[in-house]
Amino acid sequence: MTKTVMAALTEMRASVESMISSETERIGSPSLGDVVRQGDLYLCCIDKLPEGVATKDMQLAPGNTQGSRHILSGDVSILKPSKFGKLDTVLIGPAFTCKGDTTVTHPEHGHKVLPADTTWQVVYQQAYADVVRRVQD
Amino acid sequence: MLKDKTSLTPEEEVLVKQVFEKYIAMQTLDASEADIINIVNLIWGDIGLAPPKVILCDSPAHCKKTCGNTEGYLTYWNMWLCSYAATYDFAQQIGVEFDKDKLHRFLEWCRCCQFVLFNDDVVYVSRKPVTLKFNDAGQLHNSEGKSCEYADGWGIYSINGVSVDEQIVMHPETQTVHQIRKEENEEVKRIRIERFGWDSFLTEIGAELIDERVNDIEGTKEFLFRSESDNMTALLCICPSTSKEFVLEVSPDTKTCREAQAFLSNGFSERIISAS
Repeated sequence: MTKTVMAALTEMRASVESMISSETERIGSPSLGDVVRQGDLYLCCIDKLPEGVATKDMQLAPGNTQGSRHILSGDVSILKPSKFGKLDTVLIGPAFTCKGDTTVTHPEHGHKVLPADTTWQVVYQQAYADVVRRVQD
Repeated sequence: MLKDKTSLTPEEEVLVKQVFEKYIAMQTLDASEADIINIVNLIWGDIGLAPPKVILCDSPAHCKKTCGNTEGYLTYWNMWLCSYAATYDFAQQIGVEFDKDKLHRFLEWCRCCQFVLFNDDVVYVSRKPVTLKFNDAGQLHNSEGKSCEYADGWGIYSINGVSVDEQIVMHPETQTVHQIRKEENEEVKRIRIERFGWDSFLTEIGAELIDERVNDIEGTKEFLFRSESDNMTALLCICPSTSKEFVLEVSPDTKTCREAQAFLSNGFSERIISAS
């Protein structure tokens, strides 16, 4: 394949020109294991809340920047689990059960409306630089 | 005596945050000269030395400059011990028993003397920085200047907790590919590339396209570039909500855009039903 980085960038930009996906989306009937992505946040549908420390913090990603403001709006039970599968702890966010329809809001990305009686585990996007750092540590 | 404590009460959870904030605030809050001299004298006395002459300076660099010939002097960067101080401080507040005199000395030493240059007779103590900047993760970070700056202008540069040099922060465009390639610290190397621009770097090292696809879930195009010479693989992708472009480095053995997304998502990308 011969395509320069610049050519790829141009083609990639063209692919989103007519796209509008920042609208609110209602998630219908997710199955266990289904994943909803909002920016660099992955919401994995799980069967029940794992063990963890209860919290009242409705922001799903740490930080004060606009990008980190994935915020729950709705009636939820939310906690911070210490493990999820074999994932490194830095990649594991809160887990929550939606008691009613619950919206994951964000100032830039499209909102996601999650149905009542579903439970979700937040997982953060992995960065290779962090893998390098963990290996070096 | 507190034994085998494996969980915290809600009040203790609040206390963790309070102690953390207290110690972060302390990093730019100078102790009084009297307190500094007092704790230095106490510690020197503990090891059988007479009270030394204590000289306050504006920064660690100012300590060394004021001292002149530093041969025979030792340095102590107490700021790195503050996380222990905070932990012990919290522990004593929830009932862990310590030797009170030793703990008092350690906490005061950390509070008063962030950096010292010393021998038996003279102790140069740096005042604390006037500015500290952090990222969301609480790591020292400033992409536009020093992350830690003292009153005399001396300081350090950091990106996401990693110490870097002035060029990387203030003049990243002046870096050369040769300079980036010969960087031995892998963390600093990635920061160099990030600041230089991944797209420019991939272009300059002659990275080749090894895969492309339309991401069916998002409807966007993705491209995977690979440089054998630098053993680097990166995914070019774009956010369908914000149109922000990303060049995301992935594991070097990644062969396809699909594998790259699997890496980034910790294996969850194949189950995505909705993305924005």
